[in-house]
Amino acid sequence: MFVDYWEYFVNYWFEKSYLEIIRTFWYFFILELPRFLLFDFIIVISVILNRQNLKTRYQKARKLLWAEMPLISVIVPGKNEGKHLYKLVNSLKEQTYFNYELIVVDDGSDDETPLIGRDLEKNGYIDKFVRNDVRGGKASAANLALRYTKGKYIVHLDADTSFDRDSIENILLPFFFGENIGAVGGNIKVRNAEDSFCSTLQAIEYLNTISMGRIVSTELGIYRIISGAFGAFRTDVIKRLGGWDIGPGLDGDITVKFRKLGYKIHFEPKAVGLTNAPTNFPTLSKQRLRWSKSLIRFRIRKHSDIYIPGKNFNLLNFISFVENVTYDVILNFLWWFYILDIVINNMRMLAIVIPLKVFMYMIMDFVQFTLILMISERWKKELKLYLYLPAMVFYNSYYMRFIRTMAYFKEIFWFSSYKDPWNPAKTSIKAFRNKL
Amino acid sequence: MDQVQDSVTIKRIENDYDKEIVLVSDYDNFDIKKVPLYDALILDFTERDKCLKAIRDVRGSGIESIYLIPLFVLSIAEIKNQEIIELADGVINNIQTDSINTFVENVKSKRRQLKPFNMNAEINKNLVKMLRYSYSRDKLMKPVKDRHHIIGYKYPILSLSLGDDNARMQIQTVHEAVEKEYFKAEYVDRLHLCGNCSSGFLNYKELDPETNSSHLETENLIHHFTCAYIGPESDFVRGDQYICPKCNKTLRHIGVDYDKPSVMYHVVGSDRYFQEPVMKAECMSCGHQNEVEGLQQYDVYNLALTEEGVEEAIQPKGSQSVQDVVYSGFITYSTFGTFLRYEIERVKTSSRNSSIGLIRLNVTSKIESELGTRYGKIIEEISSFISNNTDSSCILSRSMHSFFILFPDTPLEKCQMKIEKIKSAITELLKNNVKDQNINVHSTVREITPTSEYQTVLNDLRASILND
Repeated sequence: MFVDYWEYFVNYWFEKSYLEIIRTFWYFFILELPRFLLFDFIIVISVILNRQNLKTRYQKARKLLWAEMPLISVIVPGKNEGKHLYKLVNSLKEQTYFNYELIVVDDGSDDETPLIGRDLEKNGYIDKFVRNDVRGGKASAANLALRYTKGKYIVHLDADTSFDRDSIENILLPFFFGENIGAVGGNIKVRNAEDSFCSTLQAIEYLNTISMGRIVSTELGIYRIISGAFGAFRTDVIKRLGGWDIGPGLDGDITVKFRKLGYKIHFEPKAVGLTNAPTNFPTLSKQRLRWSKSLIRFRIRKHSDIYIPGKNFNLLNFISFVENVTYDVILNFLWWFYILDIVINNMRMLAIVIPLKVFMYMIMDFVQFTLILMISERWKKELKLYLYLPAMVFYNSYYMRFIRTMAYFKEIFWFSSYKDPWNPAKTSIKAFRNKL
Repeated sequence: MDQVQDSVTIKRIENDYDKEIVLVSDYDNFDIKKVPLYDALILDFTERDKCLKAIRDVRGSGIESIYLIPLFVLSIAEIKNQEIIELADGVINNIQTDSINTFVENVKSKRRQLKPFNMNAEINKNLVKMLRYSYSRDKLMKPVKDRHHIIGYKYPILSLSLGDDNARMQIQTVHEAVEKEYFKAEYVDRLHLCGNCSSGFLNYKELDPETNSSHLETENLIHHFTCAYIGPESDFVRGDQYICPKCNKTLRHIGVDYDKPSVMYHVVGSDRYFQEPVMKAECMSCGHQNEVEGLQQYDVYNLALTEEGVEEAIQPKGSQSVQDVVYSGFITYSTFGTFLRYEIERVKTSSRNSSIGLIRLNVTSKIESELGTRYGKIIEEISSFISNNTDSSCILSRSMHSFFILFPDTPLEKCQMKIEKIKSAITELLKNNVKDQNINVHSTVREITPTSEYQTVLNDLRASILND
């Protein structure tokens, strides 16, 4: 029976014409393959061919950095992050770039964070530990740190992030490219990939969307989100902007604000930070619901002026937003139509078409992952992730799409990001009333 | 009826008990050396500062017959000064000797029990003084609050001997007294003292942990809910309004528009901000910056004399550490002290003069050990010589290398001659017997007067020889 099925499966390709195949899998061939594989391929080839130039560019930037050796302010806002602080300061102590001040803001922790933070401050591991007895939210915590920074650049970190020894140095280099870069995003990878199946899939996802996706978007000039876990900003610009606004999604918001001021945003793949990903699907779902809601809130509502031609109109910002909204929102809804289309038009062939669809995505994932490894600095360690690639199609195509769809509905119709307990209600109410 | 005694203002109070009770009014003419002549003093409180000084002089004396004298303060008004209350034996508002006679008699009787002791012995004399003071009047030793005292509390009788600045000695003496169970301690208060010098004069202050500056100001942080801006209050103040520097909105209502989640410290004149100042206690006496946790904790007690304390007051342990070897015709050193005290009492009531002499051999322990048993024989020979060459009325005592001779009814000059003779003879004796060692002989004499105090006389004799 299996042999019969296999024959049927293989013969499908030969029995159907190209047009019939494209008609059936139009979503894959017209929308996703070019965006997620073609661009990746071009960019990887470009990076490989351009290695020598890039090397020279980085060398020059490094010279300038060390000649100036500016003081930088590393800020770490957070709540109940005390348990991560010792690891964090140790990770920072190992950095090749050492002219930094470390400011940790405790946003109303109700665990032992204040004790740990004060102790580390007393012993000189933290330059400034500032505590708010009343929780104000991540944005206000980051802004409090910002108020007392002295450095020329600000590096914003999550407390549970750890770094390669040269990460801080690397994230500063783009500021010395001489290209009006206002902010630089770090390359976040998953540290606990081996903890669970869920975190392993996220490790692959991060490599795909962050390591590769952001290289592509930065090369296209449409890079639009600097992860809160590891990002660097010019202090003068961020202070001019008044710091972060209320979240969730404040990291994407601040990046857009930089772009609106005309500054370039750069993704630095060599500035690697490792973070812990959720180890179970319920937690992951909550996190992704939050992230996806912020897309509607910030990309469609708050910064809707990006789409309107005017004196501050910027084509790249426009493309960046359109690409983001198209692929993450519009195509997400379209995908359900695509599934419906497959089901209705291939009712008798579903047993072949669905596996075929899955198979094609798997092939794409394998190729894409191979491209990622070609430019990854720790590709040997990441090789074993190949084993989990077959699951990615279900993770990306079904699980994530479902989460995103749910999030968009909730945000579009019920503004549910303003009710997210991630932010204190007192600030969310204000943000809602002021359409922030 | 008052009777003039020493001057127009030192008056003997007539009484039925044949007691020398005097009223002191003019403190300028008050001579403390004459205090041993009296049985009790009544100090007029009209000139309160002078009265207090007189009380301090009397109780601060190292001479037992002075500091143990019953002392009353005459005042119509209530006296609130705790030091006076502690140092005086009572406050009276009229001169009624009946009321004080019993007390005076009791003190006298207890003083008679007190055994003389060698002031050179390794004992805490201040403790003995406190014990004797407490014992002689059954007095609970109460600490008194005093902002002039280095730890803020003092035991007046002790403080007068040690001074207000000597925290260590006060602490040590009280500790010794309680540890040896001479006093039963009853908790009164807990003090925190400088870890370096034990001073209680501390300035608690908040310091910047990095620069140690105390020039700090604090400011509330304000968090504007709408735009998430957060900064010190001064960032928001525009006239009498709060305006957010980020979004220019007016903050009207705390809890609705904004809150104040914490406080920030600022080192004035610098760009240094921090939240957690360190609390330090700077000692105003020695300047030491104490960590608050490093302060010395010291409990202050009321001290009630115990039976052990009574024993110690009467005969301090260790006061016999100087070996008393009794030779024929010689009495022990402590008995000699008693005789001397009686002799002083006798001199007070008679118009005759007595004298006392001391002859001391300058023998080092090295010489003593080299001489071995020979030294004992030499001492015996010298003792025999002194015994045979002094009047039978003379009282003799020996302590280590010293020979004390009390010459009753003998003027100083005569005593001097006798002592010189004995000294020459002893020098000769030593020359003949101890040729291989150089032993010097020193001598000194003192007149015994009505104002003499036996312990002072003995100490004075020893001191003059040691300084010779």
